Amino acid sequence: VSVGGGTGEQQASILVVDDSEIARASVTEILERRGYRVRSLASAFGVSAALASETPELILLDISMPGLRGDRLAEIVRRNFTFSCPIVFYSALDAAELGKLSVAAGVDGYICKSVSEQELVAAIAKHIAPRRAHARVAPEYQARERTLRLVIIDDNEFARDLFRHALVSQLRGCRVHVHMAAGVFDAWDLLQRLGGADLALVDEQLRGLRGSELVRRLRRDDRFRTMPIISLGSEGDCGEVEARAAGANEYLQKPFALNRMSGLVEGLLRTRAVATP
Amino acid sequence: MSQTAFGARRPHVLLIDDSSVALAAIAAALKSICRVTARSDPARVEWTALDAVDLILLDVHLPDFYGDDAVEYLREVKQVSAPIVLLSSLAEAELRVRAGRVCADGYLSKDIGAEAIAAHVHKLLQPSS
Repeated sequence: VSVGGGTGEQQASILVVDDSEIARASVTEILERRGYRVRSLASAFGVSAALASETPELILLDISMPGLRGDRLAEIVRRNFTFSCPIVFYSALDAAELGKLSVAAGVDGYICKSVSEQELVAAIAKHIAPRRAHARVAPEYQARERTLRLVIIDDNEFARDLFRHALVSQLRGCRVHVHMAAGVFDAWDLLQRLGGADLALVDEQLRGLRGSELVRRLRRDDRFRTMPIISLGSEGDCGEVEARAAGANEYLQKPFALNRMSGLVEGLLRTRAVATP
Repeated sequence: MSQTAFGARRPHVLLIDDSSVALAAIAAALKSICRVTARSDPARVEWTALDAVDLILLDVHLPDFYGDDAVEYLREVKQVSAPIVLLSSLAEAELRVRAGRVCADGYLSKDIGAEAIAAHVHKLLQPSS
């Protein structure tokens, strides 16, 4: 697997905020070796200037720092500077604590400082790769001359249509059929009729039942056991942990940048293209 | 009331913001200079039956998606031809980049307040000389 901002493409830039000089130096060295461009800061001081000059493709934040803690900084950055750049905690706290803080601060994930170099690089690539993805999935499906069946389940009509437009634009060159439903029961009927699909976007807040309940039921059916599902959550509902427990492959918290959705869609479709020749 | 590019017709501004406080404050400030259609959700706009709109003020941070991600869709699918101006409390640098990325017609920071937003809208509605 090739990772990093490396060859050919423009290098991905990462902003590291950590009060430990050793941690900064070590992360910078590891990431630069993988082709990333790294800027680092020792505290929250200077973050606004760094973000104003360039929005990075990922922000890696330590939690325990003198002055402003990383989780508090994350909230400020998210609210005032960037809605879409992934923010990931990188801390020596234990995983359970980090998980809780991540959910509370609404960041995209966390990495424990105890992980190996390989794990660190893989975790970072996972957050960056989807955003750098374009319609590279197209050729794999084009070659097969098969129609991709995508399903969008969302009770907001405008959002549903906007997501459809984004998917169709992304998969230009492929034959795509997008089916849509507004509620759980319509969605259930639609999927029964289709008997399967290549990907489903399922909003959590639906009329009727919760989206995760629909996902749970679909996973009990052989025809939908491996169908890629992206769960769309909102602030205040059950969230990522429950969505994944119900069987969703990926989770996006609304509002999300459409290019993040495109990245996840691409990843899931490519995996499926490889898995089902 | 000042004369505008629209002759005797009062210009019409569509304002979309999910924050009821912002929606009410900005709509109230705009009322002296134009007709305002205020909506909390793009799904509540009758896009096909909409009277001629001269300017759209679109909040970036909506509950289901980001307003800037909807600009291209509004133009291509909903056939919106009116200028679209992004509204947000994001830092100016980020807002400028986002507006530029989707070719929005402009951006206004919510932090300047409803009256100042109305003053900018008034300027945008003037005939370009």
